[in-house]
Amino acid sequence: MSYFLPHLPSGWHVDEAIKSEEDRVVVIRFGHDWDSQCMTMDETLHGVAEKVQNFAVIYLVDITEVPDFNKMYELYDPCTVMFFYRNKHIMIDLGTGNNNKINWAMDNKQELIDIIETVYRGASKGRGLVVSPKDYSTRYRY
Amino acid sequence: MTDYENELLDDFESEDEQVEVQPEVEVHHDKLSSVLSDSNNGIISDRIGQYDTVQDITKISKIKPIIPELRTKIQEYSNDETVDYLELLSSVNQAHENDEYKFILQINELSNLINNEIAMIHNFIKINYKPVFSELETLVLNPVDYSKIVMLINQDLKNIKSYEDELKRITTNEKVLIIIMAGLQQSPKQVQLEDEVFLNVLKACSLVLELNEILVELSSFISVKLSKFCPNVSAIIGPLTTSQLLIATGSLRQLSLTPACNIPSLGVKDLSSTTKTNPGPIRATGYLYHCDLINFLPKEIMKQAMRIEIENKIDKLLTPPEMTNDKALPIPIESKSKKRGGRRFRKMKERFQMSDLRKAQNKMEFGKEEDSIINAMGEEVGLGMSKSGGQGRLNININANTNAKMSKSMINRLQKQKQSSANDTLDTFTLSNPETEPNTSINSLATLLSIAGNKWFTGMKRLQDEGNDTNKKPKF
Repeated sequence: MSYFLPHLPSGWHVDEAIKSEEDRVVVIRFGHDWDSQCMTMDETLHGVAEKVQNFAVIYLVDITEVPDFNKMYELYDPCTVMFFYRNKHIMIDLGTGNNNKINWAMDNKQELIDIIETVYRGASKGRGLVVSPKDYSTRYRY
Repeated sequence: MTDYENELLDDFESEDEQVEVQPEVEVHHDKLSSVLSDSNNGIISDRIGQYDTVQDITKISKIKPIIPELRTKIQEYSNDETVDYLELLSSVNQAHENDEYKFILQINELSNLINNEIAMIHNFIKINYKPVFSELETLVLNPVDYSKIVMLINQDLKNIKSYEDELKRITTNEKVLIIIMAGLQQSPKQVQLEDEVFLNVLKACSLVLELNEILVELSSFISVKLSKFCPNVSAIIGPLTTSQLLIATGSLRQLSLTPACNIPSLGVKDLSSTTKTNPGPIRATGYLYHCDLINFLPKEIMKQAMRIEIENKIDKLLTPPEMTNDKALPIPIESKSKKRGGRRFRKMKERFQMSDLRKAQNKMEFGKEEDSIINAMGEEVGLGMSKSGGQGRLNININANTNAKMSKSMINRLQKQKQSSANDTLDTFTLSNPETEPNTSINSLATLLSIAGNKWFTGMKRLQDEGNDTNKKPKF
């Protein structure tokens, strides 16, 4: 589904995308289109993209093509999703210990919508850290 | 061979009981009609009975003599190609007076007859040819193909391989291979028929071909003609089905008067037994069921298609449901509830308010030691400014809102209970009318409780005191 979502081909594009968005959450997926985890995530992202278009916008970034952020955001996972609002990185407490990003592939659209809504609500009130509606600490147990 | 023959004979005879032969009439047209009227009455069985004795199979055919006549008629009627609307209209209203129309209806009956005759002659060929090549009849089921093959290979099974190319023109390559294999296997035990018998077989074969030819001619003629008589119907369901429906109803006028729900059941072979023999979703497998338009469709919509039978409606059925775009979710803005609550909600909030006493207890006077007591659990509880009142206020109003309350109905009920049994000690809990009946027992109970350190009923006691003091009924 990655071909349906807009790609950001350079670091400048990523910066502009994050900066220019005034009142929407910018959701960026860092990874590779060919990666199986990214494919799953992209499927979910594409599924929600139209629904959340009023308060969020979704972009894809190839971490090989655009390596600018790999060090800064520690993008060593095959698939990473991060949230930005008005040029600010919004952290999210997912219960996984890493509050900076979602570093696994989600396959539940409703859960993703809930997370994006929570990020929007928190971010629009000026918060830098929001708490995920669902705890993902037991993600690997099942 | 004879067993099979007798069996067949019995079958035919049980089907048709009446046997009557009408003399052939010389006039062409009447000949045709007589053939039609005859054939319906078991002529076939009569003729089948002559299998053993018949020398020339072609002589028993009823259709063969009228083939030339049919040809001339087809020629005659197919000349006027033009379609006149007025003519069409008149033909609808006076269907039975039009010769041409009559002929078309006759042709339809005739086609059945020809088919029957082909089947009959096919049987004859099979019976006679069986000793030569018994397997051929199971390999090639189509009478026309069967006859063609018989005419091709005659009794020459040994050299069947040399006919391969010609066989391939008649039937499929795989079939040809099977036929050749079977033929070669059969050839050692093959029986050579007498010339006379085989000649008869060959004649029968050519008769089958001839009948088939006239059948094709008739159907093509019908397809042309029916588009003239009922252009709309034949355009929709095809000429063959149209003619069948016309026969069943009698005329186009009658057909148009037939209710739509009855049309699918026209031409059902045996109306009474359809429900038992046909467990599928479609009840009525009549003419309409067998027409190309319906047969071409998937099974699920066949039933509906038979009812509506119009192509664009069928197209509509086949189109997938329209894609509806996902509606975007609204922006998740959190706003405070606009509802502030009314009197009831305010009262409810008041009930859980912190009392002034508690507030005072939580304050401490500057520069003074706080009084404290040890509670029942052995914990030291600071009294804060609850004793002194603080800020110049000596008496702290006790919050009456936090008191235990009873509903009016409860009060009434308890009052009634008290009246019925005045001695019941529980009644003293009612507190309903302290001024008329100063309740001593509740006072004693309250003091008892306060001694025990439980302050639960203090509010109650105080209320009673108040009531006694002001001589007023407390409001619950």
